[in-house]
Amino acid sequence: MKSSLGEPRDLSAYVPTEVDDARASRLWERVRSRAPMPQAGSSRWLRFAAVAVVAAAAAAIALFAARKTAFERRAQVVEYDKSGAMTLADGSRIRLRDGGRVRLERFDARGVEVTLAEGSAEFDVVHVASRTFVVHAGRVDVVDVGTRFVVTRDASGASVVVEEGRVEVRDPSGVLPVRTIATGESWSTSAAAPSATETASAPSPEPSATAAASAPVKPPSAKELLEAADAARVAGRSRDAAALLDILRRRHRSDSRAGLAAFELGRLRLDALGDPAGAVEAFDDALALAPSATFADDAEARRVEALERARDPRCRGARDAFLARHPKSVHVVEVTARCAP
Amino acid sequence: MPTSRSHLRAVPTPPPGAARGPSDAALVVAARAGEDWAREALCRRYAGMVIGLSRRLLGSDGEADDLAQEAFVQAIGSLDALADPQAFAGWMKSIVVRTAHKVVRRRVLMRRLGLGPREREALDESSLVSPDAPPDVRAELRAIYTILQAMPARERIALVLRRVEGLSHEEVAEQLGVSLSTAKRLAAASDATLERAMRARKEEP
Repeated sequence: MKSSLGEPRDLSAYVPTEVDDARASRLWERVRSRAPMPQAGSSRWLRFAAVAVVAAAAAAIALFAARKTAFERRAQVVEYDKSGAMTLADGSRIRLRDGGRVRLERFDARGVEVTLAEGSAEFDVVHVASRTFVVHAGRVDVVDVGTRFVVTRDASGASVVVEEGRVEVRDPSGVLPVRTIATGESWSTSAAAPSATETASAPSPEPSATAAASAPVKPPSAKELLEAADAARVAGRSRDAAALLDILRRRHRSDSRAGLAAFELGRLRLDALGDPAGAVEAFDDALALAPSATFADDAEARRVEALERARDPRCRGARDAFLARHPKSVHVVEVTARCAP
Repeated sequence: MPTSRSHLRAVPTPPPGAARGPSDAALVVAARAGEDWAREALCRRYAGMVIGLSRRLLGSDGEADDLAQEAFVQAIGSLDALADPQAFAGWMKSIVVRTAHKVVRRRVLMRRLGLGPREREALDESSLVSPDAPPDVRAELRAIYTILQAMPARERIALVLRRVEGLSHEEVAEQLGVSLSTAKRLAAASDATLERAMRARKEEP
């Protein structure tokens, strides 16, 4: 009998699935907690192999262009095009302009750092939430918040033009406040003449830069706080990251990110700051803010761990409650072993 | 016609290399070298594809995230086995398919041993299918997700791959890791079941 079914066709678009950033973030958090992390010894060889592959590709493509660059660590540059633009291993691109000279100081999981020694360079940065991309330009650091910007150094200091996305301009000495420059905006250390008072109170090698200090200060949004906390965390500044997450959950309690911020705060207090009692408080808050979030079982499991480390007598009760509520959780084995008498 | 589900939208599958930023190959090389940011980038880039495929294979939104998580953990743990780093998307899909197969088989086994729920959980096919789907597509998808729970594991996965994903026999064979003749046999069996279900639906008063 001949089939009445037609030929198979792709109907997947008619079974839609909503996957937003929050869902993807929760997925990654759960994957990261379970995926095997690289071991220091073996990763050295893996890194060596990866760098070798990348270097071989770079060498093949860039024989003609190598002399034009000032990169000291070419292994992280995977491609040069005919105009001299460089593509880093993460896909970020740097195009030198007006005698620009750059030096790649760092390229690893936590961050990329480039020093603009002179001239001008255009940066088209692939934004990765868990790492920072910083351009050192004289006294200021330009921190990518994503994605395309031009930095120029000249005798009077440095200037930044943002073509797309946002950057932050920071002064490592702490004299200047952090400035955020958005699409179409520019910033320059010599853009405005400093007032006499400002010049007197800010003895810097490039005093004209203090003009930026007079800019109005806008309260940070939940998104900005979360991004700043991420940047601080990956830079190893756990205490700063915890402070930012704490501000986020307290100031933006109705924001959908507040629960996640409290959860992250708990993890930081437990894993990096050695504060299990504080972690319990943060996990409690995360569960109160987002009781049905997909990370709820993660938060509860970490809460049991924090109670155990704090030698809190509530540990066994919390463990039993977790096992009753989440019998199929991936944390069941780990939680079952906790709070031994 | 607007409905309570009208906010749902399809998440397009990013073709390899089409996403903005580093290529899949660059991310795979970096991830193999232990770079956590590259693993995260791969996970975020393909979260939509993997969760969507998981949902279509299992017929459940709730279980889709668990399957996606399992598949990514396996993928990250076995990146060294990926021969062509630029082929990450297809490789990832096959991991999702094989993991889904294991999940369904385990569920069937547990039920036989009396360790799982006695009754098969009814799939809410009406919530799975977009209200924007043409009537013939809606009828076919509803029939598929109605019969899915009662089918043997491999036949079930083959049915979704062929009738929902629109894959050829060759592609189904590759994704499931079976021979071409087995893929054709599975398709014939699942098509026959589907045809009976659709005929029965039509005959319903």
